[in-house]
Amino acid sequence: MGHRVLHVDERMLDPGKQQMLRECLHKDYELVIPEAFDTETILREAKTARVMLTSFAPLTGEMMRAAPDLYAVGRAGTGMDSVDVATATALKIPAMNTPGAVRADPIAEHALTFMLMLSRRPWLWKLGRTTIQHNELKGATLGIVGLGNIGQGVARRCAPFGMNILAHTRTRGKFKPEGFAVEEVETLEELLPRADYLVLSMPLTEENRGLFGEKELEMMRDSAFLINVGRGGHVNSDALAKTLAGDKLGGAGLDVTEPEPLPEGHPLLDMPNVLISPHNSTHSAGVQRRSVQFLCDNIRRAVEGERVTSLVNPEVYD
Amino acid sequence: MTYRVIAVDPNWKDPARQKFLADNLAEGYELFVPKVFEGDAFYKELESASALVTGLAGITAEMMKAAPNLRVVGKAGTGVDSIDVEAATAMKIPVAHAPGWMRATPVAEHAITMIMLLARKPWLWRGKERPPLHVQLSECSVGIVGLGNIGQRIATRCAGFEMEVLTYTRTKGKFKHECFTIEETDSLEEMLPRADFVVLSLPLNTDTQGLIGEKELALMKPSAFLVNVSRGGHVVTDALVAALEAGKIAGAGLDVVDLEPTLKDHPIMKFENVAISPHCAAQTLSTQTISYALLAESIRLAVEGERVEALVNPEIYD
Repeated sequence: MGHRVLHVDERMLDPGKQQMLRECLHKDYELVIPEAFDTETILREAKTARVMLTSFAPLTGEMMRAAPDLYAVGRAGTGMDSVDVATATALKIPAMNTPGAVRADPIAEHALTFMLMLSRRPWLWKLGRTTIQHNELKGATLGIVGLGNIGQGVARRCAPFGMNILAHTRTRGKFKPEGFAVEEVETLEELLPRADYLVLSMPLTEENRGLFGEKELEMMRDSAFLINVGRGGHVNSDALAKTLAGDKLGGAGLDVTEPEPLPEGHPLLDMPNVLISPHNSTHSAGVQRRSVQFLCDNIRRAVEGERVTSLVNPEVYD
Repeated sequence: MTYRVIAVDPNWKDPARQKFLADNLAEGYELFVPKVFEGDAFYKELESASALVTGLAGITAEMMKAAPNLRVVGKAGTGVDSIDVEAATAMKIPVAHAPGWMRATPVAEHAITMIMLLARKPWLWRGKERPPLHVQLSECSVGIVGLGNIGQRIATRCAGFEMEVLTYTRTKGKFKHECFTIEETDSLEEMLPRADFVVLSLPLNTDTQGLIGEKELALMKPSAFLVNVSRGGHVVTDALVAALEAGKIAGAGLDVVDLEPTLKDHPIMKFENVAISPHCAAQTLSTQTISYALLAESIRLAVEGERVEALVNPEIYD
C-alpha cells in the first residue's frame, strides 16, 4: 500500500482536480478523498495519513494531531490562511506551499489583456467601425509599480510592442532586461504623470496599503489607464470611481478590488471603461498543473526525509 | 477648376473618414461622396472624377473607363484586392495605397487582442458561475499564415509571450529576427495540427481565396482558435460555422468576414466563443492620419503629373 495523502477539502470532489493530483503524485503515493468532509470522518482517515492537503477548507491542529504518522501538510497555492501553521510548526511538520513564481506568467498575461481591451474597447465593436479609434500600445508609455516576477513579466511582454517602459520599485537595479530597456524612476510622483498605462504588480504591505488614493490618481494623465493585478488594498475603490467619474482617468482594469467583490451598486461596476475580472488572473490549467506538480515533488521529499523546497515554517528544520 | 476625388465605397459616408482625407487634400481638390454607388446617376458622376478612392468596395474597369479624366485610383489601406489593378495598369493609371509597414502595427496589436480575448474570455468574468480556466499563452503555440509586415509583428509580440511561433509563408527565410526563434513550416497541413492559435495575416488573391475551408479546419486541434485580421475571403465562412457547431475548433476572432455588410443576421454572429470586430484593426489615430495624408499626397502627385511613390503598379512608369 502506498503512502496515503489525505485531502480535507470537498473541492477535491471535482474529478478534473482529482485526476490532475493523481497524475502528479509520485509512485507509491495514494490520494485519499474521504467519504464525507465532517470532522469525524476526517479525523478517522487522518490516522493513516502521511500527508494532509487542503485548498480553502481549514486544515486544523486537531486533524494534524489525529495523524500519528504525519510527515507534512500543505496546499497547492501561496497563501496558507487555511492551514493551522502554528500547530504544524509545534509538531515539527513542514507546512508546504507553492511559490508565487509559477503564477507570474498568467498574471502578466492578464495585465496585457486589460491593456489591450482598454485600448481596443471590444464592447464598442458591435456598433460598427465608424465610431472606433483605438489607442496604440506602440510608442505609449508603460509604468510598472513593483518589478518582481510579475512586473518583469509585464515588461518583457510589452517591450516587443514598442512601448517605453518605466518602473518604480523598492529595490532598484535588480532587473536586468535583455534586448530592451527599463527606466527605473525614483519616486511614484515622477512615474505617475508620465504613464499611459500604469500596472500595479506589487505585494501588499503595511506601507503600500491604500497607496493609490485621490491624490495619486489625480497625478495620472486624464487619458491614462490603471491596471491592478496585485492586491485590491493598493487602490482606494471610491477614490478611483470618483476620479473616473470626473474624466480624470481613461479607464481601469481590475483583477482585484477592495472590498472584494465590490458591493452591489458600487459605481465602478457600472462604468463601461472599467473592466473587472473575478480575481482569476492565475486561473490557468498550466499554473494548476505546475503548482500541483511542485507540491507533489515536495510531498515525496517530506516523506523520504529530504528538505522540502517551499514551506512557510522553515524553523521546523532548525 | 477643382479636381474631384470621388469615393465609390459607402463606408466613405462616415464623416470621420471624409475628414481624414479632406483635411489633407491640397487646395483645388474636392472630396465627393455620392448618395448611391450604382446605376446611371453614379456613373454620370464618375465622368468628372480625377481620382477614385475606395476601401472594401470594388473599383472596377467599368468605373475607370467611365472617368475620362481619371489620373489615379487608390485607398488608404494596404490590400488592393478590391481594385482591378490589371485594368488600371493597362490604362496607365497608378493604384495608390499605404505600404504595409505603415499600417501593420495596429493590425498586429489587434491580432494579439483577439488572442487574449479568446484565451481569457472576459465576457464570462461577470457571470454567476466561476469562469473557466484560462488558456495560458506561455504554454501555447501560434501558427502564423503569411509573414509580411503584419505577420512579422505578430510573431515578435507572440515571442514576448513566450509562445512557440510557427509560420507558413510562400517565401521562407526572409524574416530576420533577433532574440527569439520561429519555425517556418513547409506546408499549411503540417502547421495547422500543431497550432493552438492560427492567425491569418496574408494578402487576398486568387491563390489565397478560401484558404481555410472544411478540410483545413478539420486539421486544427479541437482546442485551437482561428484569428483572421487580413481578409474575410481567406475563410469559407459556412465551413467555419459548421466547424464551430461541431466543436472542431474552440473559437474564432475575426476582424474580417467575407460577408461583412450583411453580417448582422449571419449565423457566425451567434457563437459565444467568436469575437467579431468590424474591420477596424488598423483604426488608430496615428495610423489613420498618416495613411490618409499619404493618399492625399499620392492624388496630388498623380494629378500634377508627377510620379506616385506609394503604389502597387510601378510598371506603369516603365
